[in-house]
Amino acid sequence: MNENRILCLGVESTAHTFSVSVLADNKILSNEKEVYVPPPGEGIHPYEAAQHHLKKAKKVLQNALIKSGVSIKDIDVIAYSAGPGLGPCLRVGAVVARTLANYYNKPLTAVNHAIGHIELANFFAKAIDPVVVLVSGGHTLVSTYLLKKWRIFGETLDITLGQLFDQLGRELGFNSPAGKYIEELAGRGKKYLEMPYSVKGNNVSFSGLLTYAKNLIKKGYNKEDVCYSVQETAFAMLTEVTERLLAFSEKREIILTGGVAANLRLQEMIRSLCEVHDAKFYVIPKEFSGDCGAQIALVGLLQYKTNNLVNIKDSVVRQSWRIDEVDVTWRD
Amino acid sequence: MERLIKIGAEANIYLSSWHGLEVIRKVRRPKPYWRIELDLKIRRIRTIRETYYINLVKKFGVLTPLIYFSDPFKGEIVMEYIMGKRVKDIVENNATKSYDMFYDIGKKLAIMHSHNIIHGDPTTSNFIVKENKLYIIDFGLTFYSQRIEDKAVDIHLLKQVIKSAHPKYFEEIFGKIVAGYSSVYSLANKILENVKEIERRGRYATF
Repeated sequence: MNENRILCLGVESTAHTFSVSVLADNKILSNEKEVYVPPPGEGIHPYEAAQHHLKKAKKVLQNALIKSGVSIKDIDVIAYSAGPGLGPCLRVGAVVARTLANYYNKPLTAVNHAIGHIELANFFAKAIDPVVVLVSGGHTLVSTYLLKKWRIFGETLDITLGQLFDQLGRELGFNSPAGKYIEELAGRGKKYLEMPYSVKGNNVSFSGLLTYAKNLIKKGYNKEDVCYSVQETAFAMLTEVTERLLAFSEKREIILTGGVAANLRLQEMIRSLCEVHDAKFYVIPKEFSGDCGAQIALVGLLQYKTNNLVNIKDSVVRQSWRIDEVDVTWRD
Repeated sequence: MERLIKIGAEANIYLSSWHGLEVIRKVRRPKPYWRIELDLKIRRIRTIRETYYINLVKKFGVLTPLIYFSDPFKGEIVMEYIMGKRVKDIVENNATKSYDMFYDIGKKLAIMHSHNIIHGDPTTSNFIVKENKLYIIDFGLTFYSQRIEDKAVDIHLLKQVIKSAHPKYFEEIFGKIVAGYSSVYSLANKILENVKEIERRGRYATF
């Protein structure tokens, strides 16, 4: 055992997932999670999800510690996802983290969940100065790093890619997150139906596409063709704004991260654009693409090393918190 | 003889010659991630739009390259080579100039908006300064609209780019743009209010 390594325990609970991870410097020792699953055809109910997290918290925490082989006493810092997310869910994670910090007298640090997606992807990619494409249930944006902030160049003007799939999924009777069901149906689609394509400068808009697709389903169009066409159109829009940022910023690396990054068709499209521009393509490993404790533990560790901590009395949660509001203390 | 000088987001830009003139040849590439039907349609439409609006805005005193030749089916435009500096590079190289380009950018956008022409992609790489004169390029996303919202989205795009690409000078630069924009356009206040509304609608915005 290396006595000098720094250990961070991270707690994630922004939405569906309650997860705890123990991270030691450059190694993820454990990453345990329990995911709340709403009834078929329904989306997330914040209160129900929070109840789920409360029930599972103890078991997830215990398993994360056991798997890591680390005693809670040896942990150097506790990190929690402070937002953005659903209030009731966030509060569960914050309570768990505060309690641990208080009882075991450990420093506490508040992590922005989206920054977690970005930094965890780069933990694997080790890119130098990438364009980041973050696609999940909470975010759809393209970003680059400059002067202590992850800057947002383009984003969705309404719903996210994750929400587009979840809401289309609900129309089809799937529970959220529905991305994997949509991807499966789309894979069997054969006919491309023309869809609304909405790119405004570096921004995208998916709400018109969603309404249009839902109407086609109601009219009895083939579900597989609709899913296929929605995917093709939405991803083409996102890939176009990614290409715009790549050209504007003149960077040579792209990192794809967030829950929707697991979609193989999206990966294929972004990769094709990297080939045109001779850029390197990185995608977050599938097991870490969805929400997880590791993304919180990693940023928690980086923040701890740069003395970016929070007092328990100030350890609030923020349902709204944009990535460009976060001071990135660990990058130059 | 021609030389590829830039691989843009949509097009390859060549420095080429045209009946003895040194020109830019802009060729919209097929996009590997667009379906073929979509690809042909979008490239054709954007080439037509760009040709049309680059010519149209000249009437209102907005400087743009001269178009020599346009072929929508090949997605190709041959135009005047503006041998100036991109505003993006001027800011990045911290070149302070006596000429107030940002005031002028605001003013020219206002002139276009007052004629209901929305540029659609007003980033700092699409403004070129040559001999203290402002040229605007890249009209592929340009469209006609009387809606306040569309004009506000145009300003919002520019604001977003400056905030993200040139954060150090954001306040100063955007202040000048607003001043220039308001100097010639009676609807400016209304549109700038709408820009704030768009920001409030942004995800996880806290205002």
